[in-house]
Amino acid sequence: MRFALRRAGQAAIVIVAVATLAFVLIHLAPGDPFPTALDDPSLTDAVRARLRAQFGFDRPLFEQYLRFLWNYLRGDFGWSVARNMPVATAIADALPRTVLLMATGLVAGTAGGVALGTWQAARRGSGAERLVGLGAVVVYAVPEFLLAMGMIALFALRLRWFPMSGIVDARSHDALGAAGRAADVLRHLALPAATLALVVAASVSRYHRAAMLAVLPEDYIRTARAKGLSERDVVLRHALPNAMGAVLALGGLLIPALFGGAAVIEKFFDWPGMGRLMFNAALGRDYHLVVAGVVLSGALVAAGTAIADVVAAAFDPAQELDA
Amino acid sequence: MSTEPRATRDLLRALAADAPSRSALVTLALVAGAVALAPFVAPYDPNAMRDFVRDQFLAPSWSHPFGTDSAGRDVLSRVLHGGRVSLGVATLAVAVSVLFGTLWGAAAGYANRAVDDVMMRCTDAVMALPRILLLILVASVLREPTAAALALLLGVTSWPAMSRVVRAEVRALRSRDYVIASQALGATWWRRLRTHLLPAVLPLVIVNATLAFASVIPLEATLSFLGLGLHPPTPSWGNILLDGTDQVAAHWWLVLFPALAIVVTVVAVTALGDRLQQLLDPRGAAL
Amino acid sequence: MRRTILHRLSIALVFAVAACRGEGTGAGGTLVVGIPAEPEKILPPLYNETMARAISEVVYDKLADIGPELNTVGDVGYAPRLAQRWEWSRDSLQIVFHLDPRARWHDGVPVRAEDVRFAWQVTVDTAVASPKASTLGDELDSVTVRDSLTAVAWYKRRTAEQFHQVVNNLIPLPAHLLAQVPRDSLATSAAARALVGSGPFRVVKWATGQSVELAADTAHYRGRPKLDRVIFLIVGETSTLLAKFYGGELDVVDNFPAGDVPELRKHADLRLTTLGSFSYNYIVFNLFDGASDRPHPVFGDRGVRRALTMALDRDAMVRNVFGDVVATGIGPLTHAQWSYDPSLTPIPFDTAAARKTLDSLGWRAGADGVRAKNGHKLAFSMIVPASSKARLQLAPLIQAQWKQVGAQLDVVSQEPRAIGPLMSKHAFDAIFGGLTASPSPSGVHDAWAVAPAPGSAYNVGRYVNAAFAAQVDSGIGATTVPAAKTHFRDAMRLIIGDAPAVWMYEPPNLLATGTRVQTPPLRRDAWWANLEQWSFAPGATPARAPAAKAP
Repeated sequence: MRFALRRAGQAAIVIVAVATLAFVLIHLAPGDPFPTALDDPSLTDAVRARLRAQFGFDRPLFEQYLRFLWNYLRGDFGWSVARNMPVATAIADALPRTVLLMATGLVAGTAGGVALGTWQAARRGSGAERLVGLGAVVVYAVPEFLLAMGMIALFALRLRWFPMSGIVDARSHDALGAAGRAADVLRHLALPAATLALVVAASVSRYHRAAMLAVLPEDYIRTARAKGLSERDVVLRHALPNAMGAVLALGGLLIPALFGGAAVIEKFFDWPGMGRLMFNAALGRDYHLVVAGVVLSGALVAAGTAIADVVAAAFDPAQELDA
Repeated sequence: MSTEPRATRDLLRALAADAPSRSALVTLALVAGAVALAPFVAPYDPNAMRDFVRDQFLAPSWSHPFGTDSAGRDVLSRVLHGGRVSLGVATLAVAVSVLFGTLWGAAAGYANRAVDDVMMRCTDAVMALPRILLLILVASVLREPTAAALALLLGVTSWPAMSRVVRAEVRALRSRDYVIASQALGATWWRRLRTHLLPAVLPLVIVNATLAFASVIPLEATLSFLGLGLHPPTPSWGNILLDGTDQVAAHWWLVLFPALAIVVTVVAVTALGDRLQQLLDPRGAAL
Repeated sequence: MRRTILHRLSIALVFAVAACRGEGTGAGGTLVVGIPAEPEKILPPLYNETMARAISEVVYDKLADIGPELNTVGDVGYAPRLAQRWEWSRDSLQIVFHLDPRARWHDGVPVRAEDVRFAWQVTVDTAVASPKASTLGDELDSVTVRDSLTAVAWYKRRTAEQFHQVVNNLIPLPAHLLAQVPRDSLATSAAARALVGSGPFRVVKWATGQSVELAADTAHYRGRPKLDRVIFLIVGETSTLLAKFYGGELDVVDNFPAGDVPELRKHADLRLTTLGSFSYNYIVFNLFDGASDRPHPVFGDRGVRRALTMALDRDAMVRNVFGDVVATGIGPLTHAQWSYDPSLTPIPFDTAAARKTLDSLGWRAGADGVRAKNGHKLAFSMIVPASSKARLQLAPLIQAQWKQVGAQLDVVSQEPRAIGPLMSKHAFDAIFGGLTASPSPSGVHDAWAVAPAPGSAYNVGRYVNAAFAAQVDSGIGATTVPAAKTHFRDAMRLIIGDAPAVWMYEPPNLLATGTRVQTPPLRRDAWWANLEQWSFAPGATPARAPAAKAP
C-alpha cells in the first residue's frame, strides 16, 4: 500500500516533468511556434487577445511556464485554431473513443499474446512453434500503416465483413435504436481494434514466451512435474502466473507505444479519436492542441505505468521493483 | 582486453551454429552489402527520368526488375539507394541512443539515491511522451529534415529504454565484492566504471541496440510515408511506398518491394537480436 | 423479452413499408457526399473553400442565382430566389429587390429586407474579415430598406457585371439571430455553428471532424426538396474516400482525382461528369525578398522567371499525372471563362532558349551543376500542399527539369493550414498553389492586380504592373462585352509576358456519382446548385438507409 502511494507520487512528478518537457520542446522549435500560432489569419482579434493574456506571450519565459502550468491545472488548454474551438472540448470529444479502441486492442492483444506465448513455450522446438514464432516476428516487423492497409484490403474490401473506416455509418446511425447504434459502433471498432491487437499480440507473445522459458527450468516447476501433475497443469497453474509479472511490467513499456500505434491506426481507419486528432494537429501546425495532447498522453502513460507497476507488485510482492 | 578478439570470434561462432541466426546473419550481410554498394550495384541513377510520360508505372521486367514509379524512375535503384538512407538513419539513431543512454544510465546507476531518482524520473517523462506524435511534431516544425536531423530525432526518442537497462545493471553491480575491492585499492570511479561495470553492461547494450535498430526502421518508414521524411527526390523505403498506395492493385510493385525490404531487414535483425539475447543475456535483463 | 422482439419486428415492418413507399415515388433517401476536410466556416460571409461554399449555398438562398449559361453580364438568365423580382433604375445605379413573401428562415421567421441590409453591413465590416468584403465594397455604396419586403442596392458605378457581383456576394443573413453577436467574434460564436438559413436544406447536426448533416426543409417556399437528408461525410484519407465510394457508402465525390478514372470505369454503377474548370494551379514566385522591399535575388528578375518557365515542359508533365484529360495553363484564367481568348499563347517550352537566357543574364554554372551569380546560387524552395497528390507528383518532375538548366529546387511539402501564415508573411520563395476563379473574369483583379491585403491568399508574390492593373480595371468597368474582352485579353498578354507565376494546369472538375443518383443538368461551376432537385432512382434507395425519420 505504501508502495502504491509512493508510486502515485512519482507518477505525479513525472506528469509535471512531461508538461515541462512539452513546454520546452515547443519553445525550442525554430520560430517558437506556440505564440506564433497566434499569427494565423483566421483567428479573430478577440481570441488572439485572450490567448495572449492567458498564456502571457510577451512575458519572460519562466512566467510563461508558470502560467502554462496553471492554465493546464485549471483545465484551460488553449484554443484550437484548426477546429475553431477550445482545445479541451476537442479532446473531451475524442478521448473516450481512443480509450475504447485502446482498451479493446490492449486487452485482446495481451490475452492473445499471452496465450500464444504460453503455447509457444509449451511446444518449444516443434516445427509449428517455429513457424508461429516467425509469423509473430513478421507481424512485429511490418510497419503499422501497412498492417492497417492490409487489414482494410482483406476484411473490408475483399471479404466485406467489416466497414472500411469511421466509427458509425453516417447514413443510418441516427435512425437506429440504442442497441443498433451500439452494434454499429462495434462493427466499426472490429478492424482497428483487431489491427491494434495484432500489433500488441506480436510484441507480447515474444516477451511472454521468453518469460515462460525463463520460468520453466526453475526448481518449483520441476518439483511440480515430479509430483505427477500433468504438463498442462504445470504450465497453466504454476508457470504462467509467475511469468505474468514480466508481462505486466511490460505494460509500462507498452502503453506509450500503444498510444503511438493507436495514432497511426486511428489515422488509417479514420477513427475520430485522440490519435487522429493529434496527427492532424501536428501536421496542421495546431500547436495548442498538440501540446495538450502530448501532455495528456504523457500523463495517461505515467498513470498507466504506475498502475501496471502496482498490479505487478500485487502479483508478486517478492519481486524487486527497481522503478 | 586480450580476451576480446576471442570473445568476439566465439560469439560469431555461436551465432553461426544455430540455423535461424545463421540465415539472419547472411540475410543482413546481403542487405547491408547491397545497400552500401548501391552506387555500384544499382542499374540506374535513382533520380534519373528519361521520359517521364512513357516510362511511367512500368511493371517489373528485365530492364526494370522492380518496375518504375510515377516519374519513370527505376524502383530497384531507388530501393537500393533508399536502403542507404533508411539503414543509415537507423544506425545513426541507434548510435545516438546507445551513447546517450549508456552514459545517462551509468551515471544514474552510480550516483546516490537522490540524483538517481531525479534522473530516472526524467527518463520516465521522456518515455511517457508518445514517440510518434513527438516525431511528427518536431519533423513538421523542421523546414529541412536532413538525414542527420532525423537520426538525431529518432535517437533522442529511443534512449530512455537503454538508460533504464544500463542503470539497473550498474546499480546491481556496484555493490559487488570485486568492485568494492578495487575501490578500496584506490581505483578512481572512472576506472571502476570502465574496467568493471561497462564490460558487464556491454552485452545488454548490444542486445538492446539490436532490438532498437529493428524498431527504428519501421518508424522512419512511417515518417517518410507521411511525407515528413527527407524531401524529394531522395528515396527512402517509406516514400517509395507512398507512390503506390493510390492504386495498390495496379501498381503492386511499388508497395511490395519496399515493404519486403523493410520486413526482411527487421525480421533478420530481430532474429539476430533474439539469439544474441539468448547468448549474452539469458536473464532477460535487457528487455 | 417477447414484447421487445415484437416491438422490434413491428418497427422493422414500418420501416420496410416506408422504404417501399419511398422507392416507389423516388422520393426521400439520404445522399452522402464524401469531402476530404472539415468545412471550417459555413456562414456566408466567412467561407473560403469550395466544399464549405457548397454547404453554405445549399443552406442559404441568394437573392438570385446565376443561370445555367453562367452569364455574368447584366442580369440575363438569373433565376429569382429570395428576390422574387427586381428593377433597375434608369441610370443603372440602383437595383430594387422585391423579396418573396413566402420566404422563411429555418426557424420560421420571415425573410425581410432588413436581413439584406444586415448582410451588407456584416460582409463589409472589417472586423468580420470576409473574403467578399472588398468586392462588395467596391461595387456598392450602401443598401437601404424601403419596406419589409423591399431592399435597394445603391451602386458606386455602372459596370458590366454589377448585378452578378452583388447577387453573388450579398447573401441575406438572419438579422434577428445574428445582430446581437459581436462582429469580431462572429466566426467563433455559437451562431456560426448553429446555422439558421433560408435554403432548401437546413443544418441538423455538425459533428466536428466527422460530418455535416442537412435535412430537407419541408416548408420551403420553392417547394420541398426530393431528398430527405444530405450528409457531408469527412473522410481524411483520399484512398479511404475512394474506397468508400466504390463500395457504395458514398454517393457523391467532388473533385474526383483524374488518376483514378480508369479504376472508376470498372464500376458499372458509378459515373463521371466533367464540369467546366474554373480553377487553375500555378507556381507563384515571390518577387521580393521575403516581406522586404528588396527584389528577390532569383525571382526579382523578369528574364530569370521567363527562363525558368521555358525550362518546363508543362504538356508532358500534365500528361504524366493526368493522362490526356487536363488542359495546360495559359495564364490567370481558364478556358471556361468568357474572357478566354484563343489568341493568347503561353511562354513556349524551350530548354535551349532557357539556358541561353540564363547565360546572358550572368548565371554561370558552378562545379555542382548549379548556376550562380554574384555569389548567389540559382537555388530556391517551393512549398507544395501535402493534400494535393497531383502537385506532389509533379514536384519531382519540375525539380528534374529545372536541374537540367542549372536551377536547384528544394521541394517542401506542408499541410494547407500551415501555408496560410507563410503566405501572409511572404516567407516563401515559391508556392505551388491553386485558385478557384468564378465564371466572372473580374476575379483576376483581386488575385493579381492589387497589393495583397493582410492575411489574404491573393497575389502573395506581390506582382505589380500598372499597365496590367489599368487594363483589368478597364475590363471590369467596361459596359459592353466586346470591350471588356479586349481589355482582358490585353491584360492577360501583359501578365503572361511578365511570368510572375508558372501557370501549370487547369485541374479537371470531375464529379463522380453513383448511377442511382438522379440529377438535373449540373451547373458547371457549382454542381450543388440544384441539390433540391436531386433524387434517387425509383427502387434504388440505398440498402442500408432506412426511410427518413419524420422530420
